[in-house]
Amino acid sequence: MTGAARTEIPIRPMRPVDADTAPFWDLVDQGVLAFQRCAACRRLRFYPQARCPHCGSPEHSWDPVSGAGRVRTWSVQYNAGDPWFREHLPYVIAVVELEDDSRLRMLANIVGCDPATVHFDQRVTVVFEPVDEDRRMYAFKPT
Amino acid sequence: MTRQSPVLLGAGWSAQSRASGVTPLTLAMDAAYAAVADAGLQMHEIDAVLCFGRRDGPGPLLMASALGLPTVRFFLEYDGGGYASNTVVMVGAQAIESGTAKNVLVYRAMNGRTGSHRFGGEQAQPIDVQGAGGQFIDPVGARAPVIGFALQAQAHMQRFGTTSEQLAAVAVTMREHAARNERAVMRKSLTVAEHQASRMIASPFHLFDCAIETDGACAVVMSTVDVARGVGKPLVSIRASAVGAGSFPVGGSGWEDESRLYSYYLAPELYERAGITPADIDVAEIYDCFTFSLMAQVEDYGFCKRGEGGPFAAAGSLRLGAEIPTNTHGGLLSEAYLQGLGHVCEAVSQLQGTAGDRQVEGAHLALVTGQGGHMGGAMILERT
Repeated sequence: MTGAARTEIPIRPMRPVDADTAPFWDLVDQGVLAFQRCAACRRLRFYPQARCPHCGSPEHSWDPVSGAGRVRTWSVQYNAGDPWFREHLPYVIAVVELEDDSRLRMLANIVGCDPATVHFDQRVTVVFEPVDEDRRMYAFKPT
Repeated sequence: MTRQSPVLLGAGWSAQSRASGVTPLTLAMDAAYAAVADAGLQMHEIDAVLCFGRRDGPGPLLMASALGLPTVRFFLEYDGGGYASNTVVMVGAQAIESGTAKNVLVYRAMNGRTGSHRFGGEQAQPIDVQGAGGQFIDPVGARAPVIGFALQAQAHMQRFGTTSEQLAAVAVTMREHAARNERAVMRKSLTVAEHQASRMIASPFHLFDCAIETDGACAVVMSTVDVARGVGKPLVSIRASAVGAGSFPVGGSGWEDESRLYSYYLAPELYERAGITPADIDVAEIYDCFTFSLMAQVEDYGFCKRGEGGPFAAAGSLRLGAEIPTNTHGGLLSEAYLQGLGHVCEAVSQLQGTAGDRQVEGAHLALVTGQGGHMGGAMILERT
């Protein structure tokens, strides 16, 4: 036996998609950020789920959003358990408020800037980063 | 069944360390024997066994077997972290009150530093986030528990002008208290400057804003008022309890105000049930997985105004002898990472008057909390 260790190239830790979330991720793979809009109360929601958390209706459409948002809070990571993220230190995790509905918030990475420049109320817009040949992942960059 | 009044009868600990060299079962048994002895009971009298954790320690049936318990009338293994610490004690009390069980053992045991499950560090991350939550957390690199609290702390800084030096004051006070606690793992003094010079983990948190990782166990024994009188122990009862959550964010959704913890929503309910005010509390044992989480709860539980936790901590108000002696054992930041059951144990010691060098004179009412940021539980314990 040789002593050569197999080199593992870390991959982004994407999780298995389920029936509730498949439409969301299919659209992300196409470069579209879209959310469920309740047919009854008309409210957008995140994360994807079968019924509206506000009124209980199962009827909904998938509505693309502008992708514009603002940073509500953030944290720069200097430590990571996951090998892919360890190679991307330091990286920024933020809570982004979407322009289409200020109550709509999601955790996302802020990319394309020096982590030290991320700040409260910073205007950002969605971008899509390749994960592999088929999949993409959303993130936000300053506008 | 006859309704009984439950009391917290005794507390016990294993050795706390960075490397126990023994199994979590051994740690749990050490803590159980110590707590049962402190309670003035014999092990065979225990008839209910409850614990919480992340499948990183022995379950209640293994414990019942290992402890040789002849009869178990109630058992529970709650899948949860710090937010479960008070809940499990409340459930134990309810088992006594309903007559389901008489003498209840509650424990938390883990090799939190050397075992396979670690909450911090650069290695394994234990919490297996299921379903939609995980899909929107892992690909963002947001799985570590520190991140949610860091986002909350940053929001608090933005809204109220809280500073890292003020968070440092919390860490320094915890270390001062740990110096008086022979069980504590971190007893060496800490300065604000040392806190500021420690490496960043997740901004705005430095290393010394984070709980320590340790191996250890602790346990509480509960029983009835009649048993307590029989063994001659002071009566320490649960005057009020509350458990719950505010808005619960999954993948960032539903967060109406990121600077708020569960306690923002829960504290008014707890005080209303207890029929007391914050000024009545003699000692507070507040869940301190991070400096910020302690500071924010100090505000929510009314020891200072909301937004003023930073200056309050920096003024030394959390110290022994000051406005509200907080985490007299040194907490998760300096004593040991016992996920909140250590806070319950310390409150029992304080109310029974056995806390030695760190005893709050005449302690009569204690606040105890456990939390995971957006969900948590709290009790007001009373020596009657």
